[in-house]
Amino acid sequence: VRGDKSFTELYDGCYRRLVGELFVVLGSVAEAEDVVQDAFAQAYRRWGRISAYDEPAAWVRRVALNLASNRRRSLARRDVAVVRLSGGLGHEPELSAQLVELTAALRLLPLDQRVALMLHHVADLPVAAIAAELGVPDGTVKARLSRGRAALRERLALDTEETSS
Amino acid sequence: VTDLDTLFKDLARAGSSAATQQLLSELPAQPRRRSRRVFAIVASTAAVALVIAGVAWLPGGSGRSDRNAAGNGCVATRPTWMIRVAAGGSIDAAMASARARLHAAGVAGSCVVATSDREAVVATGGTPLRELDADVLQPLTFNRVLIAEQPCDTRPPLGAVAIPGPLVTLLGSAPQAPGSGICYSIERPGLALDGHVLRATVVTLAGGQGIELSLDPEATAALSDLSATMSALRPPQDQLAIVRGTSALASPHISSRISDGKLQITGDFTRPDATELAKELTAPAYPIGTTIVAIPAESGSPQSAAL
Repeated sequence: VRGDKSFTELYDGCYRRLVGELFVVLGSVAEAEDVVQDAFAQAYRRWGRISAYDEPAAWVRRVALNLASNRRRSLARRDVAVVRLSGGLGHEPELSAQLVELTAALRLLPLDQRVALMLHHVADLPVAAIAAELGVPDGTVKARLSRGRAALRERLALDTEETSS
Repeated sequence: VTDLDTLFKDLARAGSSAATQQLLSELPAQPRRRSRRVFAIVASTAAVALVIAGVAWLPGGSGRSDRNAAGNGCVATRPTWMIRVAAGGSIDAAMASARARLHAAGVAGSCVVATSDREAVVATGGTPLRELDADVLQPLTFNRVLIAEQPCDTRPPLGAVAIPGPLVTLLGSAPQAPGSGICYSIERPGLALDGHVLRATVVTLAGGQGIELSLDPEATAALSDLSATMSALRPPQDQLAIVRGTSALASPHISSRISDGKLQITGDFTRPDATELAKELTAPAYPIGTTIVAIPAESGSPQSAAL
């Protein structure tokens, strides 16, 4: 089924949501915007093909997540993340104390756990869909989710009953 | 008690609401209708001119993608630099590097727009070019100082620096008063810092603000040899200039061999200057063979400096 959305519609409809999702993973709106914009730019170049997908937005998210993990790798290798992140122009959101704690705790998790947690808790995807999205077995997703939750539970003063699905 | 699910959703919502959504369909500080027009033109594969905010520039670009650089709103009105990568180089990497430098220098309202797979244009907004440092996108190098000349208050024209040669004269930090400037003649090519600085931290030292650098193994080895030679020389030949484009940003004296790749640089820095420099030093490297071309405010022919 050919999607009937135009690129502009997709962009207008999904850009903010995707930045929010990538923000959860990356902890910086500036970085999230960079990868989401790059992902949209890639989608634009291949729009003829991508517009025919059932869910072009899912494609953009996958590309953005790949870009995020590549970027993390290269930053980690060069060990400049801290310096660069402080170079933003100050349009990071103001967060409640609890959300600041959450972002701080997330920062300490491996990227793949953050991605799994985001896809589950923000994008509301079930384990099987996350596994398909990431191309890993269900068990791997479950492990990432439970390790991620356990680590967050330890760091946050939260009632975090497992909501396994 | 707030559950994890709610917290995550709140966090994503906070991120969403801080998004500036400035890529294709919306340029903040511009009327919505006009933004649409910009997108339509960018989207047209037949477009021979790229138009931002109604000002046409760069004929010949095919307008394939549009990425905003500085994060705080793209209000660009004029093209300021052109970035070209060599064959096989990644324009995305060059753009990321330029973005990091714009962030570092606090150049607000700028846009980095890819016009082809090999070229991108940086447009700046509110700040006129003459008030910007035209060298802001140039990568940094360490160069040996051969001659220091004082007083010397005139910045050499960009074109003069672009001419490849073993010796070039640069202006030191901006002269505070007539007659107080210093010019350095430096040895080229220098030691490239682009991509070789692992860490750059602003520190307060006895002499004022400084920067603590930590270099990667390749630059460490090069600096070790260089500093061994230089430390035996008399001033000004014991000075190592940190060069960006047409300026020497600092020119510390080397008193001993630096073998561990860790060094502190003090200069006539204010804290914001030191912070900016530290960020520039750690910006991601440009792909090899990238050229930054400054487009003069009163448009003549662009003047370039190859990296």
